[in-house]
Amino acid sequence: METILSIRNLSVSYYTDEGEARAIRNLSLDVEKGETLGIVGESGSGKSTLALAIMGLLQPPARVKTGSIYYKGRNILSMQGEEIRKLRGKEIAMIFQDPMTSLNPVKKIRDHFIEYITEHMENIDEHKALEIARKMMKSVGISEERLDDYPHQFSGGMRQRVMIALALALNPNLILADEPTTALDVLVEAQILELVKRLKNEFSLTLILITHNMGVVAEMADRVAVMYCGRIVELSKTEELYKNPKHPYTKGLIESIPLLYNRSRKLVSIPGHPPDLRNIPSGCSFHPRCPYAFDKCMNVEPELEKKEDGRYVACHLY
Amino acid sequence: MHATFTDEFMVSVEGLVKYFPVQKSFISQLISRKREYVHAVDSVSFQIRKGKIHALVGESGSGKTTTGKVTVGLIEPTSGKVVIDGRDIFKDEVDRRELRKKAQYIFQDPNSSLNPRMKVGQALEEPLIHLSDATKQERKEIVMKMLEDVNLSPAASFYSRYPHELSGGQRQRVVIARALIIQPKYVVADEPVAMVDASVRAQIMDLLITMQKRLGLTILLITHDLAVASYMADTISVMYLGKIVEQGSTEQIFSNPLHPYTNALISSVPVPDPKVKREKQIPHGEVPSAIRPPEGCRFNPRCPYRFDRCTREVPELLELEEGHFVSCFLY
Ligand SMILES: Nc1ncnc2c1ncn2[C@@H]1O[C@H](COP(=O)(O)OP(=O)(O)OP(=O)(O)O)[C@@H](O)[C@H]1O
Ligand SMILES: Nc1ncnc2c1ncn2[C@@H]1O[C@H](COP(=O)(O)OP(=O)(O)OP(=O)(O)O)[C@@H](O)[C@H]1O
Ligand code: SF4
Ligand SMILES: [Mg+2]
Ligand SMILES: [Mg+2]
Repeated sequence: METILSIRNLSVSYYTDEGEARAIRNLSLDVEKGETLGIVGESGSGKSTLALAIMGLLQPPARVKTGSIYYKGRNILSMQGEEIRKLRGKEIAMIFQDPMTSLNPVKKIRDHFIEYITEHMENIDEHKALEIARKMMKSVGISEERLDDYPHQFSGGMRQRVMIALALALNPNLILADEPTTALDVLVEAQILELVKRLKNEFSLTLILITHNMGVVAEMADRVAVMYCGRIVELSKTEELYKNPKHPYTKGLIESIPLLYNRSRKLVSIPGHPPDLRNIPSGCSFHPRCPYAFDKCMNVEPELEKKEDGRYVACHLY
Repeated sequence: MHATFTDEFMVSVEGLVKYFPVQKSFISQLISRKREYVHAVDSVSFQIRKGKIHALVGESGSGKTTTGKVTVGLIEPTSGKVVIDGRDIFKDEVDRRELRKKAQYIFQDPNSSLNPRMKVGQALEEPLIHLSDATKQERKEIVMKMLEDVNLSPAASFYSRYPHELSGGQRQRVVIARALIIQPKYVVADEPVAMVDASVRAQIMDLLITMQKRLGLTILLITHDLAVASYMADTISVMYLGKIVEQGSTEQIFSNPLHPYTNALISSVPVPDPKVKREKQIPHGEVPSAIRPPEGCRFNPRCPYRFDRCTREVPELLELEEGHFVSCFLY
């Protein structure tokens, strides 16, 4: 397998008046070409920060403290203005949670396409750009006449389709989708997920799917990385993760979801609440909530290591 | 569900209608005189037995919040009747203060429903000042006990914190505690876990169930998450575009869903188990506008089983088996 993206020892912090929020702490991760990698974790665990870092879009008060992010062997974090702008869109594109904030309300959909395409591609005229726009609208299931509409004339689900069409317009290899369906109702969510699956095959994409919905990940991902408090605490094939979660946090996460098809199952809830990133617990950051914690957990931070069975877990139990 | 002994029920809603006038620009008012309305809730009926949890489920904009607010008197209905604990809240001379003591609302967004400048202790004490005769000393005791009850412990430490010093889950606990502090009989919980983290969701659901059991509360649970309804509710109403399309016990709704919309909803929920592979029945399109809802059955433009009659007539909510109602011409 070919590694398309390789993150090494990445640490990112937000520097605010209340102190340093350590959003990502010494994180390493490889993404294989053609896979769908799910990233799950609760609010504030650093998922979006990671996505922004990969896109080279982090802005103050965020600062990369250490680490590198290699895309096809080139370090994104040391790229300069023009170089990174070329990478975005043509190589890596992003789909955000809330399409309304990324679409300009006073601009027609066609102008979004023309602007996005001409900005990232040299030697392309409006006519050609519009041709791409028509093709993309068609592949996300919206008729091309609607290119003349404004964003507010579209429903939430259609706006998300437009965002997907835009992201794919320049034929990128890697797509980062940050909670692409969180703002949508279940039926529309199901439609969008089907669409993403289809397009992923059609355009042979690598997909990083960020979500806090364990159901969405189970249906979409080949592998799953579980984040807690700025770190990956577990990484494994989707089936293995759900069948046999190793990290106590992953276990808790899976056992605390009510299931429609197994309603008599007893839910186990994870005690306590997520930590404050300005004041991260010592040792394993999950230890104050962990039912299995022992002495070592309070003092020594476990690293994400490959175990005998090929699974990656950051926990002293293994 | 339409039983004869009214005193079995804490809540009884009959033929509830709520239309909101559409705000029009000056120009469009000149062009067309016709006033337009959002048909937010259209002839909704349900009852909740004392001490039980009834869930309203459905997509965004289906009228869940509007229905919930009407049942505690926060919104006046266009027409219809709401009886809480034996009293018609819009007809009888119901004292507003009495109603607030009896029926409380837990709002959809815990962040905007807490005053950021008010400490947790004050926020909890406030309803006691307005709605009870407790002395200052007693109020403090009640607040401390309630904090312990909702697991904000040690209570003394939470008493003097501000909302921004709490996690999302803790904030939701405060909102729940505030609604329960005057010991209401009926509570509307509007999306109580939508804004809390996955790892804390089960805690909050269990807290509500515990309080319901301990205080004998009757709860109207509003949620778009079917799994949450399946875990908490005794009975369920499925809403679509302002109407109830199916109603029954939780068991009936999930083991024997009848309405095409209920079926679609259930089969669309992403299953957190990669082994489970299902045929999804995803209806095309999205929820139409509630200003001009479709003629006939409101679900017909998206329904895979639609036939002639569905576009012409409005199906009634019929009882197919005991306590199980559906509004669809297939039955
Ligand atoms: N602009 C900012 N200034 C200060 N702190 C920030 C900023 N953006 C994010 N953070 C903090 O960084 C941490 C990680 O945030 P991030 O948005 O990456 O989390 P997330 O996992 O995407 O959460 P969610 O599921 O809520 O989207 C959080 O504690 C957050 O409060
Ligand atoms: N004050 C209002 N004025 C005008 N229209 C309103 C008002 N409140 C609600 N509506 C409309 O009534 C309909 C039902 O809204 P409601 O908030 O009850 O839905 P909901 O089922 O709670 O949705 P959600 O899941 O998004 O909270 C929607 O079309 C909404 O836009
Ligand atoms: S009445 Fe007709 S359109 Fe409506 S749900 Fe039943 S079959 Fe579908
Ligand atoms: Mg995020
Ligand atoms: Mg609502």
